[in-house]
Amino acid sequence: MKKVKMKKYEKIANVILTIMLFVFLIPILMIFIMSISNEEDVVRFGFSFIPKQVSFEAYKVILQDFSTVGRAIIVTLIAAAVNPLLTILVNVMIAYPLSRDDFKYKNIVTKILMVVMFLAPVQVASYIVDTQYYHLGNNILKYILPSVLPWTVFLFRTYFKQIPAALVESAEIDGASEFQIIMKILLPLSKSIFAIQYFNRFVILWNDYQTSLLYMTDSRFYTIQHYLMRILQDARFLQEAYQNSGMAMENAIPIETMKYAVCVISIIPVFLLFPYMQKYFSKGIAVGSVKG
Amino acid sequence: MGKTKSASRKKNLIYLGFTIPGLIFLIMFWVVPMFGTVLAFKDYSHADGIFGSAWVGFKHFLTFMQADNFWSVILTTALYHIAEVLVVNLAGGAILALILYEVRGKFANKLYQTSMLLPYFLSMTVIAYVVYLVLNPTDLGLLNSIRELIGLERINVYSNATAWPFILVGVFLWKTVGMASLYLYAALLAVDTELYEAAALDGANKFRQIWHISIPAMLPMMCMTMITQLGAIMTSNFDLHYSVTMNAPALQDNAVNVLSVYIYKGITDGSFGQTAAIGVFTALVTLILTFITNAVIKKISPENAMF
Repeated sequence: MKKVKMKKYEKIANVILTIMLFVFLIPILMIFIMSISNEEDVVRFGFSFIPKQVSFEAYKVILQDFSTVGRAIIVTLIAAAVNPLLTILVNVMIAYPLSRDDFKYKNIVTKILMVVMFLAPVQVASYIVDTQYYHLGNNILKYILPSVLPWTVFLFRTYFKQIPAALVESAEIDGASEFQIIMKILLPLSKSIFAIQYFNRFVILWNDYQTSLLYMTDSRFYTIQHYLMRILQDARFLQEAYQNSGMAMENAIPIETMKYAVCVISIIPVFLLFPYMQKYFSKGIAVGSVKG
Repeated sequence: MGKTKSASRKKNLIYLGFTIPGLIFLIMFWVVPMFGTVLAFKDYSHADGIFGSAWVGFKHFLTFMQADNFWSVILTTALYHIAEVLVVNLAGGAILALILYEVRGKFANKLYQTSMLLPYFLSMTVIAYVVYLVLNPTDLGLLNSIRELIGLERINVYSNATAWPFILVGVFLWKTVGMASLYLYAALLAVDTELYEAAALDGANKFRQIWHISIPAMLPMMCMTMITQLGAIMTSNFDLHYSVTMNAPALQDNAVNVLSVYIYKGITDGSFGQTAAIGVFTALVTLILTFITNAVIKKISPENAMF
């Protein structure tokens, strides 16, 4: 009797969550359907879930002249791949000494990080210093230069502290250098946290729009998000790509479907990383609860 | 004795060396802009730079506080933030977590979790595309196609201000509720299942079980989110309010009218001094609220306090 009742609630939950599954997935699917629709049908009848004709023309045009879209993707890829690497490196290099009890300046470094955590410079001041003094406007370095993130430092410090001290001590007795301890003991033991942090930051940078909007006036330095917003608001921006592609002008330019094709292309890297993100995610929730 | 002392000294020097790259970046991108905050008390001129420009005292503070729209920006920002926290982190996240908890099938459970998390990793730009696909005021929009099909006239939602609080909170819910609910789901998984069995034996129905076991299990995390989000009440998602609304002219006084966009526009307009003053003001508000909330957390659950 009890069992039957349990089943009933599970069934209701399954029905609700299946509906939710469609709610979560259909908007993503819509972008894809739009990108493979026939331009003429779209312009005449509007978006339809089942396209009357499937057409890959939008993708063809984009791939013919990949220079504009491709450039944005390459810029974003460089930013999203290199910045996390440097950021993790810089933050781990602070976190490691903090995790060691024999580091004399532990307290002062921790205090500095606490202040950084609670006081951020105002955005305008950063903007002016970056553009007027460091010349980071229209400069790909703006994306790449790492930042010190107190939360990340504390996260790594707490993680390193969990590694049994005996392991490090015995290595020290065996005459291992500081560098060897890091490379041979610490890094192999903290692979998963490195992966989570890397992927997390990759996605943040890949999806970042405001940095590009604020700092890059030259379209050669646009990130893919910035490029996407531009073509959504301003179709002329796409026509350029079409004219460069040298494709016959007999058909109308597939402007609408092209926008969504670029959109689909922009999602691919994040979706490729997603399974890995999810694999590490269960560990991430546990690691996320760290105390300063 | 002397040898160990010099060894520990050498070690400390190495450790200190490790922190140097970080300290350099902190000086460049934190300390220098921090001094640059004096901008709020100056009339910035491009030729003189931040430090050479003329002092004007609290002029910028008085200007923005007397500006017609400033307080409405603050109010809009706060209301959106409160709505988002209530809808996503509290109601939406908790309900979804409770439903997910009922699913015992491993494969199904994993499938639902995956679908919930996918939107979280999409950029707001991509989401702006989806919203535009539905709301496009021309024939292309899904909404207008449907309206025409059932004999209604076309509408342009991008010029209808009242719809946007619902659209933006809805979009935010769709994007982040999966992540929010997974945290609460983790709290539910920590509950001993025997508690539910004992409650069932005592004749407690599902809703009583949820009320007396599940909700108390999620409550600490929900309270904590509420309190910490209070400190962050001045934050607003730039991409949500700028991209998803397409920065539409008709929405300037409401959906677009939040602090992050206001500051962005201040920067692009070149009114640096006043924008810096607004930044100082919001930083102070945030700092005070953070200290208050931390004190509250310390009272009710010391182990979760930040400092």
